[in-house]
Amino acid sequence: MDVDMDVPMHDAVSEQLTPTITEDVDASGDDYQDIDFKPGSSGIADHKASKPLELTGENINQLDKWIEKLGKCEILSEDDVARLCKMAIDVVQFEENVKPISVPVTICGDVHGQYHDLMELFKIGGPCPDTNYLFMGDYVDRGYYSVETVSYLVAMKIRYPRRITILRGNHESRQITQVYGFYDECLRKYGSANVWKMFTDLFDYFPITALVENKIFCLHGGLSPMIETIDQVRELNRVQEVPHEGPMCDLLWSDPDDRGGWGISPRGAGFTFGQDISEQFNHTNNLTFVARAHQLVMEGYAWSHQQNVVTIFSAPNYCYRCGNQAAIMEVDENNNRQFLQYDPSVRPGEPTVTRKTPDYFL
Amino acid sequence: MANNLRKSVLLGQFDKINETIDASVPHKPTLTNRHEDSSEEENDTLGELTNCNSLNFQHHSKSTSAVDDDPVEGWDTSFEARETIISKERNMNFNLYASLPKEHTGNSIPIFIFHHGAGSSGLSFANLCKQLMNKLDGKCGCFAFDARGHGQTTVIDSNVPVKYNQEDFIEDLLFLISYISENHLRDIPIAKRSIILVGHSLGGSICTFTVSHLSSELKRQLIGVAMLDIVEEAAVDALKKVDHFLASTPNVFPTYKEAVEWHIKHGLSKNRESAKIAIPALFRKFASGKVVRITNLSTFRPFWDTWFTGLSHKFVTLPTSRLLILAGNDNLDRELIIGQIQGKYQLVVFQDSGHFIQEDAALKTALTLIEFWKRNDNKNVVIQTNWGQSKK
Amino acid sequence: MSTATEPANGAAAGAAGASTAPGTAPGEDVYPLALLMDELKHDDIANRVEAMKKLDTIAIAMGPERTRDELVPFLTEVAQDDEDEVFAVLADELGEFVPYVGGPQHATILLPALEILASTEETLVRDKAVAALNSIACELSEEQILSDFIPLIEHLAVADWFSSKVSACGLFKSVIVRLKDDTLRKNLLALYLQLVQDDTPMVKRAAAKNLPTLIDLLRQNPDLSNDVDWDFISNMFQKIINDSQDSVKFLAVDCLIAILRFFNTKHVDQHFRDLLSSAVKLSTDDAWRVRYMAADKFETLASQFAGHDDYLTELLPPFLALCEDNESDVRKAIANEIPGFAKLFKGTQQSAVILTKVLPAVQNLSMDENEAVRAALALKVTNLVELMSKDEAIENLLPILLNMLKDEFPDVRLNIIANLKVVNDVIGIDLLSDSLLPAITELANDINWRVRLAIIEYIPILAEHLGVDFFNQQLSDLCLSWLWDTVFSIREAAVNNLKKLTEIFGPEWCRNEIVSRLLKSDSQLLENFIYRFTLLSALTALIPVVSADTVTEQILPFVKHLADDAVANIRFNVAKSYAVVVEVLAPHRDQYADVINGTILPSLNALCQDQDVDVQYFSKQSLARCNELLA
Repeated sequence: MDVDMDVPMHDAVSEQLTPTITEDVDASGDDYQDIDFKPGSSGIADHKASKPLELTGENINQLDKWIEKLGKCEILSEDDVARLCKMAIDVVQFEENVKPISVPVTICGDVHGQYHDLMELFKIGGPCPDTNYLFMGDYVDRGYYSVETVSYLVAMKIRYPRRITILRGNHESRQITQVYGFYDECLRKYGSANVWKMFTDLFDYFPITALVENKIFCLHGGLSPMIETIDQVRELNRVQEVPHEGPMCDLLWSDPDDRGGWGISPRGAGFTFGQDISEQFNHTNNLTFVARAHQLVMEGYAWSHQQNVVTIFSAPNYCYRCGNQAAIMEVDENNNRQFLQYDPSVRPGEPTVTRKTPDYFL
Repeated sequence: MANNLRKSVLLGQFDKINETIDASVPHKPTLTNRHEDSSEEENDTLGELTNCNSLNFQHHSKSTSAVDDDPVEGWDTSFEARETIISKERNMNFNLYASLPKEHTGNSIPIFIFHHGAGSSGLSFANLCKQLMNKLDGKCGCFAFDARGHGQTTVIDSNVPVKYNQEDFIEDLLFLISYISENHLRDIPIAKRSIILVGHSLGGSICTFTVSHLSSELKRQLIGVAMLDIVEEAAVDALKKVDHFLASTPNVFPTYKEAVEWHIKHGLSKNRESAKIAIPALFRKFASGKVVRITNLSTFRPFWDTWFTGLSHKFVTLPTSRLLILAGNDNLDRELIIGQIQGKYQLVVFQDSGHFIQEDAALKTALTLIEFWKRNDNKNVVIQTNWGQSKK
Repeated sequence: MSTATEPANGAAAGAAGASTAPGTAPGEDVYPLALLMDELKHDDIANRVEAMKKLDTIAIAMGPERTRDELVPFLTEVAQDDEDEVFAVLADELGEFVPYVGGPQHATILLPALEILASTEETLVRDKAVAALNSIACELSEEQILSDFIPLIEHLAVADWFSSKVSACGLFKSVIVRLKDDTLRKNLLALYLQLVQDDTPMVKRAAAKNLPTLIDLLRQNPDLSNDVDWDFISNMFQKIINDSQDSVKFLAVDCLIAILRFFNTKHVDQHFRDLLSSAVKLSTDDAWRVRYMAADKFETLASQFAGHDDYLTELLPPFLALCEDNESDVRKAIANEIPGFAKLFKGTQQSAVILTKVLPAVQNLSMDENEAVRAALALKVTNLVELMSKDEAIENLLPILLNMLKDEFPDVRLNIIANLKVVNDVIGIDLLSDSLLPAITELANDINWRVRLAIIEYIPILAEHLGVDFFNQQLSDLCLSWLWDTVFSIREAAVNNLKKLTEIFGPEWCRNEIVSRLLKSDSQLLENFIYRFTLLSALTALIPVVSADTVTEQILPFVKHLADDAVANIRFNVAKSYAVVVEVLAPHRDQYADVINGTILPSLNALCQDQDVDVQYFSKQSLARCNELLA
């Protein structure tokens, strides 16, 4: 379906309310766009390995070359992206829904295709693999370098699987990326949607949460009324397009709120949860706090719910115009935390955001 | 390039939806020329009814008599009734289109009240309303009207200067909401009313700014505001280009049909089904047979400054649920970008639609509005949780 | 809608039949035009734009003759009825169309369509049409220029609508020097003069904007121009410089520069007196935009008078006035031009001008209320030192620089420090150091890490000039403190800085002042792996620049001690460090056999068995490297 929204609900709507349309589209099996939008159509997951990828001298060389190229903000060829994604599947598919992480680790929020600011992040926090990283999703969309950003992080993930963890955000989804830039960027940079298909097929395998030393529960969005214990996350079948509702959707979409209890999210997906909920969740699961991303905070990080939840946002001057700082959170081997804030990278020829004035009137 | 590639990919899909819509709506026989028709009726109205707020219901059986070679459709394919509401206080005869809920079952009945944009008319929502009634089996109310300076809403005393400030539009809308509430919604229990204000373009701004002026009782009935393709920054930019737009937009066509074709050819309308109703409503037929655009946008020029200032901030902080549907690529301004990534409102983008979302993507808009209602209506929603059930 | 999406074969064939010339076999080869026509009737603009982009393919398929007979006339019609997006693509395509119509001899057939496009209201379309016309003009013969292109310019130039005239202004450059006939050229210039005097500012602006290009062309073809040309140009210039609108008048600056260049090339200086008056007039205009333009180009403008010292002297008052302009943008622009302008004066006059006129102005600008002005001044002002004697500089310029080093705005300080080398070359750093230290300390603690980084990178140069004693007393603590910065890039720069300082002050200094102090680092600090990592990086960086004994006695024990670190990232960096140690020791492998075989290799071998794959990998890499070095 050509559903273009920042909420993944429209499909569901269509299915409930317009069976004729859905059936109609499905019936025409020869429609090329059905293939386009179908999970798995890229073929990168056709020959998954039965055990995690073991790095050989040969593929280490290959990866190091890719990383060098991507480090200069140059894209890989379509063939190389295919190889990259195939290798990546054999790394991330074996990671748990709740990926255990040990300290020290540096925890980061949304990046959104702001490649140069990601490089700035590494200048602040130190390069990987010398510094261990946990990224909490939203690598693509909005910024102008989603392809470079996600290619770089995925290549690092394959090359140093123990040093970097990349979780899934709500933008790591077929539907959302069609609206907010990644799909168009792939078309623009590769001339076809193939690379988009490969990456979105890969996103289905990304782990959805992480647990730092059993103390900090990390995920993109927030809590779910259907997930009371971390063990319940472990039971989810995560390998799928981000669903429109249900626990997996909530983990990637929900937001903390000043109001107590559960609330309808104004976003149109996920829920809002109050301090009572956060406290109960942390208590039940014996956590210090929940670390999440998903929302812009002007200082780059913000505690809420009396230090039961922290929001970390790592895209400075989001969309090149929001004027916010970015932040990352360093957790050292003694579980001490330090937030590092930073501003947009200085780069000559910064894309000035020119926006096309609509032709229409009022 | 990307946009074009995408467009070609999506076009097939879009066509398919249109075909589906076409197939589901049986074609009506050729319809009357409403404008001549209605001008007579306006005279009638003025002759018969002198009381403020009097009703003049016009049922569709009446208006299908005359013949015109233009394949245009009348309001009656989409609404049950048309009514002229006289407000001496506002110095206006408002032209209102209405469809009422067929039954009052269920604990929540959505009432959609629409406000069109500058240069448009209430019939811009005709196809959308048809889709809403269809998908909800008639269990909803739809109200659309022609704003001052538009369509068949007319001035009572033309000696009094007419203003087009934001507050004038707001006062009109407040008046009409009260009117609708007191008259059309009378039979619907207050507890069941779920009012949703839907505004396109300028109308979105008017709806948003109207909320804080509603009576507390109406505020309780209001469950959300939906804006269609309006972003403060882009709108202010667009104002600067109005002259260019006006210069390249003809105001006279030989026939309604040609007016419709022109708007379709120039991408102002992408859905013929909607265009057949919405475009002719923008024109008045003269004795020569030519049709002439009713609204001259440049007469609004002195009032533009009042229309959009502070809209984005107002919208993201509305004390009700917020939905923004945009056409094409999202071109949010800073306030809306921040609001979006902070989860303050629901954003939906129809990439294959033009500016007139309610016309171009009537079905999708209807589905989105219905979902918006269902999701945000506290009369309906119970959040299910399994917390406390699976305990150690 | 769906039926219109793809041109049905039936419709295509029908349309093709109608457009097929007699004698041409109908069938596949006529399909392209029909297809195009069909696509160009499409409801969706995107489809029409796409169709336009395929024009070249269609033209190739049709061949030159039919392109001329059918396609181009069709396009000329299209150019009158569509949307701007479609026009823009059409203009682009037509600019490349000469080969498709059968070469230059047929190129004039393209002009009518482009003439229409050049008259549209939308700037983008017009610009593209003008570009296309200019590129076609390059391929036209003189005959075609005369018979077709110049009439086109004339049409546009006398049209009613301003958009046509604006386009006309952009076309003269393609013909002005291609006409060998003086009368024709005179007529063209007369026409251009009309445009310069047009009623609408849009046309006047376009004419003024294109005038420098025309003058440059005449300059490059000196044999062509004569006094009549000059009369016209002079006339045009007077119109522009005396225009009532700022937005026209400020374009006179570029015109003036072009005119001066023209006469300089011709070695004619009879007009210089008048032109100087114009330069003064522009520099002191009432409209700030005009003054800004003059300030921004001041060096270039003044350099046209180089060699005429009296003229240059007359430019001094307006120059000084610009330095005191009310508008900060003007002052910022002129602040950039100061040394360049001062340099134009020669000999004794130069130093007098600098001391009595320029420096007082610089003094004022250095205390300007606007920080951007001060930062702009700081960028170039140090260059003045080259135009002065050492004593003059010390007495007059140095106090200003020292003051600027105390500026509250970091960019001012950084710009001065970054450009100090030239000052140092003339007067030495000693005189600066008193003011320099507080400036450095403050920059070193700036909240913006890039400011901190900039000053760190300047430290080695400073160290070289200041000498070791001064450095030990004043700067070494600062240099060590940067190692514990929260930002990785600062820590990294601090490490590199220590290495560079060692290269300057020598291994002994490093051992005593740096290594031993590093090894006494606060143990509490080192509980955080980040600082253990930084220390390890610092010591590793110093390995190549200190003595082998310092390595084995002081650095290596610390490295080895970290081989058991709980954090894997530290362990694999220990492995990397070992290779650096062995690289230094390998040339003396016999002397250090015990250390290599007894300490390093066993530890490295143990790390190869580490449970962490990355430690294993980097240890194996290191071991391989060691074996290579020791082989």
